Amino acid sequence: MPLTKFTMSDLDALMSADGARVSGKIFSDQEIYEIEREAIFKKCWQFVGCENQIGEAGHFIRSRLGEQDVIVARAEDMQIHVSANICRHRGNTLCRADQGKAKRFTCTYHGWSFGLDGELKGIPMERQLEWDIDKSKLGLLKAKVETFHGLIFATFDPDAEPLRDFIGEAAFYLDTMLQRRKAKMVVIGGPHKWDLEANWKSPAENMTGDFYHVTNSHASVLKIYPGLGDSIKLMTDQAHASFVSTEQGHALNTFVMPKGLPPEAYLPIEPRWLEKPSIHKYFSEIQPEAEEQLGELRSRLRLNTCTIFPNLSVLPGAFCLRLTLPKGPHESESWCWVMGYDDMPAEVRDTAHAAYLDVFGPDGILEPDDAENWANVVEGLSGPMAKDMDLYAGLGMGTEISKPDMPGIHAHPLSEAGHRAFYLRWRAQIAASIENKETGAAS
Amino acid sequence: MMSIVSLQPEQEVSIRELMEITRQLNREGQLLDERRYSDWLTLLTEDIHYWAPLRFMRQQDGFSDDWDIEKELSQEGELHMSNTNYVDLQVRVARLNSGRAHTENPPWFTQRLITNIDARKTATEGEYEVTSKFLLNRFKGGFVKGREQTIVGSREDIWTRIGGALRLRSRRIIYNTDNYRWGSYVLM
Repeated sequence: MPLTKFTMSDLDALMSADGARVSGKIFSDQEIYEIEREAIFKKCWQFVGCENQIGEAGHFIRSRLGEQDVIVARAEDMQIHVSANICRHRGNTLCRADQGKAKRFTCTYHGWSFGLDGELKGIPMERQLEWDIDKSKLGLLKAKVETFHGLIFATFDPDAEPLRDFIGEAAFYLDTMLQRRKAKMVVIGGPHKWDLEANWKSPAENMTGDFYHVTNSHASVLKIYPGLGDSIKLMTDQAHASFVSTEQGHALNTFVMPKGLPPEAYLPIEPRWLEKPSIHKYFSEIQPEAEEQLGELRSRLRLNTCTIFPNLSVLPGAFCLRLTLPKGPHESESWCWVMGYDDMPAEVRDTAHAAYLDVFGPDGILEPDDAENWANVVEGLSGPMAKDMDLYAGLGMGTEISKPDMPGIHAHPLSEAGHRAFYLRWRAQIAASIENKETGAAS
Repeated sequence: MMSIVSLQPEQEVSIRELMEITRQLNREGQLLDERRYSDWLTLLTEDIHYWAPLRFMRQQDGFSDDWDIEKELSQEGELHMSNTNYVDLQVRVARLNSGRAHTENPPWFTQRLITNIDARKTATEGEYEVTSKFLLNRFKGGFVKGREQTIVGSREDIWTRIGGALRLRSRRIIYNTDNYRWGSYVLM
C-alpha cells in the first residue's frame, strides 16, 4: 500500500501506541519499506560522514541518505554541500569514486559539469550551439546540511527542524564522546562496509542499547573471555546504569562510573589495550581534561551504545560510528567509521584501530553473531504467518524513571525501553506523513 | 605488490619446491574446509602477520603510471579490513571452537579452490614468497532463500621452513571487492 493510501488505523495495526507491540510485517514487507523511504529517509536528518574526511576545499566523499547516493563536498569557501549524485541531464551517476579531490564533477556521458556546490557550471558546446539553457535551474538536487561537533548530517527535507533540535536530549550524552577533549574527535579510519541480510531496523534498534542480547548472542565470546561477564554485570546494574530514551526517539545505554578510579578507567577502552606505557599515558591524560570539558558528573558517564534515529549508531567502546543503510526490506549495508582524536600519535591510532577491529571489525569477535541473528529475523518473518503476528518489545515496561541531573527517561538497563523509543519515533514519522497528506489534500 | 611476473635467476624455485608449496596450500585450504581450525593454527609461525587491506574505488588520472593497485589499498598505519597476529587468530579459533558461535552452528558448507600458485625464493634460506588466488563458495540453507556467497581474492604469503615443514609467516589477502562484504568473516 503506498503512503497515499495508508491511514492511521493501518498504522495502529502495525504498532501499539507504546511501541511494545510491533507487527512482524514491518521487517519484511515491501510496501511498509516504501512508506519508510518516504516518511523517514526523505525526512529525517541523517549522518553522512565527518568534517575531517573533507578537510580541504575540493575534498569529497560519497555517502548515502537512505538509498540515495550523495556527494558530500567541501567547496572553495569551505562550505559543505550534500547533493544527489545524479547528473541532471540524462541521469547518470555523476561521481564514481568513493573519495577524492576535485574542482568539478564532470559527467562521463555528455560532459555536463557541476561545481562542488552542486551548481551546473558547464555544458559542452554551449556557445557553438547557442541553445538557450538556464543552467541555474539544472543544478544537482541539494540536501540541507548541518554539523554537530564535526559530524555532518543532511536531509532532503527543506523544512527539517534545526539539527540541534533533532538531536535534542541525546546531545547531553553524545558530548561525553564528541566533546570529551579540546582536541577534535575525527575519523581515523574507514568506512568499513558490509552487506547485511537484514532489515535496517534490526541493527538500529539493537544498537540503541540492547544489553539483553549480549550473554546469549555473544555466548562464544563470554566463553573465551570470562572476565567480560563481570564487566557486563557492572554495566547492567540498575543502581548506576540505565537505558535512556529521549523525546526525539534517540536512545542509549549509559552507566555512571564510581568516583575515585584510575583516570583511564573512565574511558571505554579495555585495560588489555593499555599495557604499553606510552599508550597508557595518552589515555590516562584524557580524564582531567574531560572533567573540565564536561563537568564532574558527565565525565564519569560512560556511553555504551546509542542510536540516533533513524540509523546512526555510536559505539564509543569500539571507537566507532555505525550507519545502517536500508536496501529493501530484506537487506541493508553497515558502514563503520573508526573515531579518534586529531592529536593521536601513530601508535595510539594503531591501538584504536586494533581495539575496534578486535570486536566490531569485519572479523571482530562480536560482529558476526549479530549479523547472523539479524539475517535470521528476516528469514523468520518472511513466512505467511508473520504478516499477522505481533512481536514483543515490552521488557522492563514500568521501570522508567526520571533523573534530576540527566535528561531523558531512564529505564532498567536490560529493558527494551530504547527499542520502544525507536519504534515510537518510527510511528511518529509515519503518522506525520499521513497527517501532512491529509492536510495537503484539504487545502 | 608481490609479483612473480619478473623473476631474478637466484629467486627461481625448483619443480620439487613448487610442488611442495602447492601441496601445502591445498592442505591448508582443506583443513579449513574440514573445520579443523586448531590444526590450521599449527601451520602458522607465532610471529605471523595475517591481514587484509581495505580497498576503495579511486579516480585515476587515466594514465598507466597511475594504475598501481597499491594506490587503492590501505597502507601501513591506515585502517585495514582485518589485521591480526597469532594471538588474535587463536582467539578467533577459540571462538569457533567454543560451540557457541551462532554463525557456525549450523555451519556453512565451504569449498575453497586454491589456484595460480607460484613462488620465489627470498634472500633468507628456506623462505619463499608465495602468491595464489582463491575462490571460496559457502552455502547455508534457508527456507526463504538459501544463502550462498562467493568470495574471491588473491594472497601474498611468506612461507618459511621450520624443522622439516613449511609454515606461514605472513599473509596479505586482497579481496576482489571494495570492502569486506559478507557479514561474517572467513579464514582464507
